[in-house]
Amino acid sequence: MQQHSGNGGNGEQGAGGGLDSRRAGDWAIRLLCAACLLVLLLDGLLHLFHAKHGHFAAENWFGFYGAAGALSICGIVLGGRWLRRLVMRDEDYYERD
Amino acid sequence: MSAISALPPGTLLIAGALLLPLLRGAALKAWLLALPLLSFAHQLQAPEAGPPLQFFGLELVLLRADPLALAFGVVFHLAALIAALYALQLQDRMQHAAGLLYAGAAIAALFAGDLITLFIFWEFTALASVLLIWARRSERARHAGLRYLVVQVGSGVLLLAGAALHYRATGSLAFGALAPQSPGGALILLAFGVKAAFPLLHNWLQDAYPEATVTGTVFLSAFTTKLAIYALARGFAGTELLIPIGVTMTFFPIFYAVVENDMRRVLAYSLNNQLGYMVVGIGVGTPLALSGTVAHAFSHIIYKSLLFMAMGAVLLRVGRIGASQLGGLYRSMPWTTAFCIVGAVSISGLPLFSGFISKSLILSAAAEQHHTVAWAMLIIASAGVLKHSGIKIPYFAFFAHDSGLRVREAPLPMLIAMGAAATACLVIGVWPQLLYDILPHPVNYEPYTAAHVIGQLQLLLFAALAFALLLRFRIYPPELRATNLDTDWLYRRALPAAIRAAARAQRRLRAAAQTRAARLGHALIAWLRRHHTPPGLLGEPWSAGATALWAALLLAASLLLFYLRTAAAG
Repeated sequence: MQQHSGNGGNGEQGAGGGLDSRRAGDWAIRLLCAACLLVLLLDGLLHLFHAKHGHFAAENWFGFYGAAGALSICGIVLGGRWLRRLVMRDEDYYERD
Repeated sequence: MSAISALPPGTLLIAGALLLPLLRGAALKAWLLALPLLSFAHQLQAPEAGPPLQFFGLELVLLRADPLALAFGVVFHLAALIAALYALQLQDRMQHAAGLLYAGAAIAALFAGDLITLFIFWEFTALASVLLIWARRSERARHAGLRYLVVQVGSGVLLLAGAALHYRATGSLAFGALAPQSPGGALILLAFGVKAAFPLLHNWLQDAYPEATVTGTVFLSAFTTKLAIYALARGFAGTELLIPIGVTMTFFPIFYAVVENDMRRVLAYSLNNQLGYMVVGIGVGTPLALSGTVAHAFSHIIYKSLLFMAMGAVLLRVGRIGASQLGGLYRSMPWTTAFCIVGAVSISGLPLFSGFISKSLILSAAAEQHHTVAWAMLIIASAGVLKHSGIKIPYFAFFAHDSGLRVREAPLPMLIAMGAAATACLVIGVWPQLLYDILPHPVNYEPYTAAHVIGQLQLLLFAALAFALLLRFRIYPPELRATNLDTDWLYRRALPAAIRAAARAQRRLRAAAQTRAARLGHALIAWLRRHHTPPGLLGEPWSAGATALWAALLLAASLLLFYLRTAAAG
């Protein structure tokens, strides 16, 4: 298994000012936090005005989809890490005789 | 009815593609773009049904143009046109011909009214599409193509066997609703399942598609699997078994997509995941679910082509496609980056883009029928889609970190093709009724309600934030150049190893048997030699006295036996 130096997968971003810099990453996180707060606020308004008519009761809970999204990603990433331990082999695994 | 209109749409594409190797320069390019348009015009004037054809006593229906076939026909033609445009700058006429032959066969298969016609075009797609893998002209592609061909042709053989059993049981070859419980129906379902990449039958897709050429993968992503989805929708709508199968398909590829480094292989896993939604829709089987399946296939073909086109452009310009080897390409390829982001947000289901208005039909249909577990799993898988296709693909290729790569932007025809696909994603997302109007069942569904839009935005934004934080705190696994074992390990490693072990065991057994036989032979020869050579009993000449004594003893024994026999008879 070869790891590329300066791999973005490790969150190692350049210190420059481009969209691939660490600073841009930090800004992206701040923007996402703000956007998440905004949609939570809107979700609260829907809740107040009883404008949610989901097929399942859970859909009408405050912040249900936000929690589902965040928890799903955490589960998927952790599951992926576990899967990697199980299935990862050298790059030339099938070429080797 | 003219002779041409009696033929199924797609046959014009096949005939026209055969002329491509004869053309050069501008004529070649013009013909390449004109063919999908001409073929679409052919579809527009196709009658509802063509005349039946007698073939060895069987009645074949080459043309049956109902709303299901027509809807798939529209998007197959659109995909063929976009892919042809994307491939326009390519100098390889064999690839051009193979691409359009493949598209033509897939379109013709949509209009097959019987199982034998379906089988013929089913196998035709396999034969034409493998050329798009072999056109890469590498050893890896040659092997991957062979494996792909075995699986695809095998699927056709299952279909033919199923059709034969179905004919024996029912006396009909008509391709309509089939019974999965009957032996023929079960074999046909298996044949469709192979091509639709059902769990455990799926790995041909991730094995072969990333090994095809830059343009070949764009063609491949559109037709084979969606032809299988069409066939399942026609043959097995409402088969509840398809719901758990589809859910599994949406689920397991998202974990592989986390750890896979090859971006085109990530997209192949993502394709598998998207097929899962469609299979669930077919399993639910209500008019809304079936229309949702067709709508999602339509959206999916376009945004998946767009994502494969963007990654193809990166492969063309950079020469490699591993996430660990890319990054910061937005500087060099801004248009490709923008189009890729449109594909990424479309597949993620962001409101105003195509995935949002198609996937929600399937989710609503599952919820309406109270398939609670399936619905919950599809919601989780939706977050997974955002992670692997919505974020991973554009992020690691175009942002992440400055890899120092400075390359040219994609060629103009590629950019136009990507621009057209991106526009289609947006148009369908903004005006969903355009798509809903061509679906096989009327759709009375409003995707843009406040609750739906806010719910979806919440899901996507919180998922994106979780991804960003996992990446920031280095919990997200790093991109590594590696091979990840999947079910292809069974036939690429385990099966050859088992065959080698069996051959070794057979050789050992044969050698052991030969040694034992040789030992026995030697022992026998030694025994005979011992007794037949001096000083063995039979090896020495006997004296006259000894010979007379032995003769007398034999005579006495003979007389005694004769006496005993006579006494017993008396």
